[in-house]
Amino acid sequence: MCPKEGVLQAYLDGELDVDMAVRVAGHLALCAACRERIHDLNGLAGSTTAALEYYRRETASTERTVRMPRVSNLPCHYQSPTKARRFVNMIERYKWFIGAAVSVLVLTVFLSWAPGRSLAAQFLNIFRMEKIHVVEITPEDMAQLAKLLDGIEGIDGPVGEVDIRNFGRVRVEHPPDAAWIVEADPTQVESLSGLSLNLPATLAGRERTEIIIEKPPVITFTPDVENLNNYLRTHSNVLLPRDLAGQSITFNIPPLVRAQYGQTGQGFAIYAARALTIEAPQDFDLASLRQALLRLPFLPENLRRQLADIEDWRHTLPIPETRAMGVTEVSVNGNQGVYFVNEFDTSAVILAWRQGDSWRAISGLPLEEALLVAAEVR
Amino acid sequence: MFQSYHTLVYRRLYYLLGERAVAEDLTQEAFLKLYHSPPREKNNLGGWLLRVAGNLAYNHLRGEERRRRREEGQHREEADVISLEEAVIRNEDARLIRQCLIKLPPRDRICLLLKNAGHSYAEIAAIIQVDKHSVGTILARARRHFASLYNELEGSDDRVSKRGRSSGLS
Repeated sequence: MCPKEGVLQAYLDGELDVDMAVRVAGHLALCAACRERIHDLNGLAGSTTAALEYYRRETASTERTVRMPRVSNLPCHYQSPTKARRFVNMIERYKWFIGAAVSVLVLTVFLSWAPGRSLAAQFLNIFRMEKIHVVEITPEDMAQLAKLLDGIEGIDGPVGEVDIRNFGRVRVEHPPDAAWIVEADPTQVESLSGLSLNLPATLAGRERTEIIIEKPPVITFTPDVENLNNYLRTHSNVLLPRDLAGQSITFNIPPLVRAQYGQTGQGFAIYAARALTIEAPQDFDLASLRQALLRLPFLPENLRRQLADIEDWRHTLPIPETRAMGVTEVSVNGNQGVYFVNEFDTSAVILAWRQGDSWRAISGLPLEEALLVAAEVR
Repeated sequence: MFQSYHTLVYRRLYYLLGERAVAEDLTQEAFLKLYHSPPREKNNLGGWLLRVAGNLAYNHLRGEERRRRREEGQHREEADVISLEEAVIRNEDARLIRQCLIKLPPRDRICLLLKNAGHSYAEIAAIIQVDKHSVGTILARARRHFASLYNELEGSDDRVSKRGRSSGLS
């Protein structure tokens, strides 16, 4: 059943809890109509926000006529709700991830906030690192994190201990609207995505109905070294090097190819994309940043331990396993892969694996069938 | 510090209500609340004051709405009259947006404006007194309503389109 409009809107705004967000994302992976709905909602949000933001600035500049002198520096952190701002709202809700490691930031983004992008696409985007590592998140962890978040959100309750917005800035740059999603024919795939794919006209008894290429945003994260250190100082001895200040790291997410076989809702889809790359200035001390973030006290101990144990963290992306979604590591075409099962929506299963220097995924097929298709597309 | 909070609250109320005189009155009221029943938690005075401002604005708009309904039929439509307020907002686009906002029901209007000012669903829900899970529905509907009003008005207002600056509604 398709989610109500209010649920899609909440999904866009990063206002759903993790379980629900995963369910909606899973549904979006399979329902073109809902992807269209969410695309429309996003467009509506963009246009009304532009007008209202303009209005807000105008009303703020119409100074009152009486007494009050001009105050240039308001102690106000309610700033313009740009796309980045919405994004930051989202991160605030899932700060446990960003608190864990920079790579986890990417995960958060695509797990819980990727309007119009399918769940499989999100996982592909995540996987672009060479290895993966399943991190188990227990209900207790969830509860601990939820409590922390509630404390911050609470309207009359205490203001929470941490405000993740102080920890850094995140900027999301989308390609121009028209270039976001492109329908392609098989001959264009390579030039648009840089991938040479075998996409036969018929697979597993179903006809290919469309090929879509999506261009994801470029994400930049700039940690606020001073704020982070102020916070860390009260909780641990590990501080960030000062020369990190002002430096940014960039997540480059390559175009995603999606080929639909059979009718939406009944067929399956194949996804492919090149590897995600993270760009940081040469002297950017990613290791120190990771160390410091891992010390953040609000991180549940279980998660902290699992994340800290990942040895090759520069090339490993943690994949969270929550109650709503089971993750199993499997071998696909002799390569490392994972199989996701969404317990709320048994059709939203995903097999993802690494093929050469890129990633592939199949959604909507049971494991055995998916493995057979995987062998054909390679 | 006091003055900066004062400006913060006044601006927020003017943004929500679009009327300077009312915004000034309610700013005073917000600070009276602060003196008579200050929050226990002092670290986020700005946030507290903005919540109070949101509540005052919403109550005011609902009161106005009730009054308007009562008087309907006695006075025909005051919306067509160009008020002093409109003269104060010199910018025509901003004036147009204000006209659209005035036509929205209070709950939709406050929801839309608070969301735009960066508030979470939980905060908005507390002010417009609905369940947190209804905020998405109200927000989407309010945006659609606002966009259609805007397009309607913009289409009928040549001066705006001649300015060559689109406010971004399509």
